[in-house]
Amino acid sequence: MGNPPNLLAAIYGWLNERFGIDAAVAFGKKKVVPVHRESVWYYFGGVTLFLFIIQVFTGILLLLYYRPGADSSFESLQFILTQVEFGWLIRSVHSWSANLMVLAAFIHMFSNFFTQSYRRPRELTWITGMVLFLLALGFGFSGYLLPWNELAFFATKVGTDIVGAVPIVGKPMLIFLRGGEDVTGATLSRFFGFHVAVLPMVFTLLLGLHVLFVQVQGMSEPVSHQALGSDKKRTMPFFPNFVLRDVVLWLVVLNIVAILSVFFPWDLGEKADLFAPAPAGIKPEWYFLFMFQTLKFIPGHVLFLEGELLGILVFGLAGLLWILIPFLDRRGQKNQRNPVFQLMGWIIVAFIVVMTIVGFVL
Amino acid sequence: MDRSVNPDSDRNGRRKFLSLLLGGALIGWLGSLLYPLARYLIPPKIPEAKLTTLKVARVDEVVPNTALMFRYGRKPGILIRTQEGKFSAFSAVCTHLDCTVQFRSDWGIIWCACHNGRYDLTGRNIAGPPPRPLTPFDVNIKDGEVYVSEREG
Amino acid sequence: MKRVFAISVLFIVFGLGFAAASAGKDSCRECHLEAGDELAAPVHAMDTEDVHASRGFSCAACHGGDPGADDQEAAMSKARGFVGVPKPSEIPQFCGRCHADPQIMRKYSVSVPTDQLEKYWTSQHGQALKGGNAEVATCASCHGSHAIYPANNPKSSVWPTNVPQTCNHCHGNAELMGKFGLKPDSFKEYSEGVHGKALLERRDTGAPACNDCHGNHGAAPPGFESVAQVCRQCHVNNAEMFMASPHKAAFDAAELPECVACHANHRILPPDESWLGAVGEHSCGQCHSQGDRGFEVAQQIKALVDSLRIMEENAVELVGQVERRGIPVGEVRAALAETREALLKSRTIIHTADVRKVAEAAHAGIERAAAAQEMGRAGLAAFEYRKRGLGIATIFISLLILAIWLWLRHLEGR
Repeated sequence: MGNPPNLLAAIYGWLNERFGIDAAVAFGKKKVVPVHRESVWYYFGGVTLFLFIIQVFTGILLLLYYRPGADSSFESLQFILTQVEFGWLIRSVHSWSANLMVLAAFIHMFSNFFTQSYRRPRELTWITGMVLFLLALGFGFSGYLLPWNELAFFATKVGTDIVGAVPIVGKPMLIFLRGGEDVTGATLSRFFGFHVAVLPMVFTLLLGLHVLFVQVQGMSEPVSHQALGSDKKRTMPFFPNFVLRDVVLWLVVLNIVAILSVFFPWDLGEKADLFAPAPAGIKPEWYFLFMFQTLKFIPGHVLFLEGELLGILVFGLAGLLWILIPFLDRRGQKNQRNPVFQLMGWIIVAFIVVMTIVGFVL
Repeated sequence: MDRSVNPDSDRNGRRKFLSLLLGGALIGWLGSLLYPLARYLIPPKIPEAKLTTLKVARVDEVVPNTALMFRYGRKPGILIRTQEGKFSAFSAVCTHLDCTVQFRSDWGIIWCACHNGRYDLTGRNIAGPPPRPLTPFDVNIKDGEVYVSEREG
Repeated sequence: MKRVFAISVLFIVFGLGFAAASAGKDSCRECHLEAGDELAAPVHAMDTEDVHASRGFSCAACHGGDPGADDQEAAMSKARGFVGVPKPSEIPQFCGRCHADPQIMRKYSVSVPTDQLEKYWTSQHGQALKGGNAEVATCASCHGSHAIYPANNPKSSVWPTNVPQTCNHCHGNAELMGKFGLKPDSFKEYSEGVHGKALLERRDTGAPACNDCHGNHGAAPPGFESVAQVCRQCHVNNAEMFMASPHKAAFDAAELPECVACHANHRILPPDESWLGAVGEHSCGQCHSQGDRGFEVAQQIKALVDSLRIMEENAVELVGQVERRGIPVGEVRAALAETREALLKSRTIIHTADVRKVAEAAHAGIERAAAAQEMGRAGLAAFEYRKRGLGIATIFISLLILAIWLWLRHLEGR
């Protein structure tokens, strides 16, 4: 044994005297992760978290050169892409990681749904998770405008138009989001503030709670695993086994992001022109596409309601019910599988996938 | 413990190899991460995003009643010095169909060869197809150098 | 006393009558409006922004007669100057009464020209009319008769973007044109050509309408020796180069219509390199054959322009590849723009039929294209650099993953 271990031991001892880290280490050593057929899905929360960390990191790096403003957003991004060394890389990593984070969040959310992890006592974990999911979509929507290019400008216009269609609160919300009646430099300022300050703050708070809940309550087990006797339940220690596997997966994800950034870099587009007409076939980002496409399919008027309004109300109601799933799944509350909810979940997944594909193809 | 005979020595050997591999790979990976990061953080030679002011020429380089073509960003520009010695600069992109205009000292105007569009020396479109005047630039003379920049507002 | 009284009454009556007439009584309007339908139409037309009505002219100003008289016969009596509807052959003089008189026109607009009638008599329309053929255009055919807008009003039938349609009313009529031995498809051809597309589709009023080449009042096709002068109004370099080239004399001698000989008159299409060289239906080979000097020159010019064009195409293709790989191409695009300009310049200079001049322009362009290609290749190299960097990072990541995986296996005692 050479010097380094002694040094580490000394530092550990110094901190332990003051903060009692022993207790945390003991807790960590005891932590186990259930091993069963569905345990592969346990990784997706961590992957989402990892991608979020990449976002924070690359986001801060971009902040060093990005200047928000109708006259400088596009130009500063152009600067990053052409003049700053590896600027293209940081930018493409940020864009790809954003998309992958939303994908990972979808998978994390649905895998928890299908394994009924929201069952008692984990209802709040589900609810904080759902809010985090919505915040992630908010991150995506606000960040998308920041390059201030044609696509971003019109996607924001269409997206906020749809918000404006919500009854009663829609118009005030639209004006709040846009910083006025139309999408202008004021909208850009707001979205920048949301994206780099408000959302990170709220997201971090909720994320802290979400992770705290998981630490305190441990990993949820699917109903079938929970029913087994404790001698039949296989587990693995969190430290170091699960963590190392986590790290391996994170490294793979990092490499995927890098490969995507080199071979499919994101381009700059054309600068937004407030007076130009919308380019044909304007589409939102893929994670909003299924809703957008559904709205397009709804006929202009259904009975006495405007089609768009009906669509918004249906999605709103569906979202609300989805958030309240822990309380609606009676069988789950009794630790039983719920085939009806499972089927419903698969139908929803199929709907989202099909509508997203249709949205791309049409 | 006598390591040499102990079957655990295999494990120890493997452990050492693994530590080495891990350490080496970790350092290599960190290097491939930190290298682009470090290059990114070092500011580029042109520190500002917007190239608003361009040094075009020395005052004594531009003879009166001649013009100098220059590049402003990606687009062509034209710097004119009148017979009286005054400087003015415009975007050299014709407002009709985007051809590059030229100075005609014999006619005392800015001319577009494509369809005979004509502009006076204030950039105003005076004959032919151009629908609008040329976009003017601001010209500043400092220490014998001519600087051209985008007009504010 | 009685006589005084009677005379006073007469004066009053006449006075009232005069007052009524001069106080804007217009029986023409009143009766025609009452009559309705066809007879009322001219009145309605004059009530628009008609240029004559807006300057206080009413029916009698042109048609004569007495607008103060209620009785139709009195109002429309020849004795009171009533002229009625002028016959087509009379219309030029009818309008010319005022419009050809500078002293009259000056009262209403100091800058409006007054030579229209004089020019008209020199035109094909005027000549035919003088010769007794009334089936030609007169003032009213193009300008209308009652709802006449000034030419600078977009609603006018002679506003630039409306001119082609106005001419087409007659010039598109096969039966009518047949009588003059003219083809009725000028408008169709024009709208398929570059000028037509520019004016009618893109609303570019810089593009010529019929009158810009044929004249409006003095409308006539330009003589074959003057075609280049007509095109010179806009295409200065091409025309001057042509006129200084050996082709001018040759074409005039052969009675070929200069620019139109290659470019057509109405259906003017964008020229392309297949027109150069010695082979092809549009090419120099139409006149020049193997062995004559022109044939050689044509081939040389074609070779020069072709090589520039090919280099430009290659540069554009290369830059496209670079851009698709996400490498910024702002600088290169500037070089490409310069190359394109050089190509345009070369294609213009061919009108000199002078190989040396074409070579000069083409070589300058080739040099720019080569520079653009160089930058393009640098862009591709930049992409290779990125891939190499990714490769290195991937190797290290893979090694790290391998190391961790092995360590895991070691820990889990397998």
